[in-house]
Amino acid sequence: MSKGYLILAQNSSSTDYVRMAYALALSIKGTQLGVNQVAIATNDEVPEKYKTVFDHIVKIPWFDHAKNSTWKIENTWKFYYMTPFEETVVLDADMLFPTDISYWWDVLSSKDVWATNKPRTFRGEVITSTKYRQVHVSNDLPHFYIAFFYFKKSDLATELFKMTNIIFDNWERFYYTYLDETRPKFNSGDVAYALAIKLLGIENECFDTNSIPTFVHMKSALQNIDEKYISEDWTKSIPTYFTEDCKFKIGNYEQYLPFHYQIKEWLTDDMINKLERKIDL
Amino acid sequence: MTNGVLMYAHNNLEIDYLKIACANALMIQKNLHVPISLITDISTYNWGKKSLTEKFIEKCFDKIIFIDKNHRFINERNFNDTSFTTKNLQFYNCNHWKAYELTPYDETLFIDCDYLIMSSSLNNCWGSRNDVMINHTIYSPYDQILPYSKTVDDMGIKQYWATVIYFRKSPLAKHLFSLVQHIQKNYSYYKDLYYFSSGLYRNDHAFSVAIHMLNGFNDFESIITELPILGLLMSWDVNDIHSVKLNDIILYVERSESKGNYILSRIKDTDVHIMNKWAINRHSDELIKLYE
Repeated sequence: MSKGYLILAQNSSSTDYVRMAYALALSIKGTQLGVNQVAIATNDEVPEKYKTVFDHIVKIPWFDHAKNSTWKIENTWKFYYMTPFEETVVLDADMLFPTDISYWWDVLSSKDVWATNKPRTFRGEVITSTKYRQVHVSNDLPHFYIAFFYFKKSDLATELFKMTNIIFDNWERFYYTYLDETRPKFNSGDVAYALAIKLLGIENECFDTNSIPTFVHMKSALQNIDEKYISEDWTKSIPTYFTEDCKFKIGNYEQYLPFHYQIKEWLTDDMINKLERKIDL
Repeated sequence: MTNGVLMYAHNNLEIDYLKIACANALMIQKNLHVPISLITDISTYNWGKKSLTEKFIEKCFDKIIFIDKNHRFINERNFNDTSFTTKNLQFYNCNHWKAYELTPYDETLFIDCDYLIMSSSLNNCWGSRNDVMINHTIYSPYDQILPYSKTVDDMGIKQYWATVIYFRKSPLAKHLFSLVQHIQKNYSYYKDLYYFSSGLYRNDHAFSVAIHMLNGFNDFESIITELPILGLLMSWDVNDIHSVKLNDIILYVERSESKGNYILSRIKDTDVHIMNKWAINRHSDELIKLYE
């Protein structure tokens, strides 16, 4: 069974997601001793240098549903149809892997779909804030995080992605019918997948109480820190120490889990240079 | 294998730590039935000889270990006697890292003398497979919230409380105490690095940093286990003691955000950290009489 990571990267007018996907792929190649195949799904041009770290470059199937969008989430129901792997972990582009998590795959393989529902703060605490999850709380939706989720080619995954496709195509109607007034005014991958899982009644199949899969989610308001002490842009409040061998501390905390930095400017050229040197590129 | 309790006592101008340690030693004899050693300095001991008598002190402790005080160590802090009285006094606590070398026991319960032992709970430590046990979980009398943990700062690392430390002679414990020594010697650096709000040297902070370092700069899964108790029961220095009986203390507990508004709270058969030293000093004669 082929296994690998899939990153959907679509550049917007302000953000170079392909560059971030490249940095993420470098970090995967530099840390993962087991599964380290990486596929990028994009219709944007991938620079020649970047191509060396991607094992697969796939076009977004059918047409680009996010062509006129700034948030670029409209293609996120297509993971099942993009992936070149039998078993896939979907990642957000704005992430880095600081350590080897290859052993997770043996655990993940026991399910057909397994999504993160307990991301962590940079200090390793399970995130308890529901600030951005009012719609999940109010509608009893599972806390699905698209930034790190696993699926294998299977009947269950087929069913989930098909239902998510239907929701994406008719999201206003679905949100109006199934969600209360906390419903978002725009489509959201985390909400659409959560709603699909709930409508299919497969919560128990898609989540578990295990401590994995997980990742560090760096949205400021989720850090269990009083908001008066932390800027909305966390990088203005908490320093980063990024070493030559690409280990990094956020504040005084060494990072071990997949790290979702979220503030795009956090990723510097210097970090990318270090990541390249680590794999002799 | 030997085991026992180890305490420190260094008096300052107003607080008679030795007398508190003697009262607590009698409580330990009553509840834990293990040998007790005291680390102190000669001036504290000489004062104790006058105020308590040498015979009484020797009755309290199986072994007294003298160490020289470093008179260049200045560590003044505010000591509260309820919310209404505060005094700035010397807080001599710079030698706790020496406990590993100085303890005469293979397994040691290293406790602050104001952590009053009113139960046998800590006897569950002996023979533990853990080399070191120290708590980050605390709770307070008359608190509506469950046992909880704090961080040294809003952005900071998890706070451990050096009030009670179990350790056995082992490489891990030796490494921990030597790290604490290193942190204490370079405290101004670590104070800035870990966002401590004041320059006051605190063993709680030094142990917190040392454990954080031993964990690989993370608190995710600690290699240092907590003690086999619910948490450390903390009576903050804004509280006072109403009365004492055998393994039974009634406290005046100040209600949070309501200065001077007290509620009585009874602590029975439970160990408690009384942070108002004057309160213990006021009741130490009574405690000694009760447990002697």
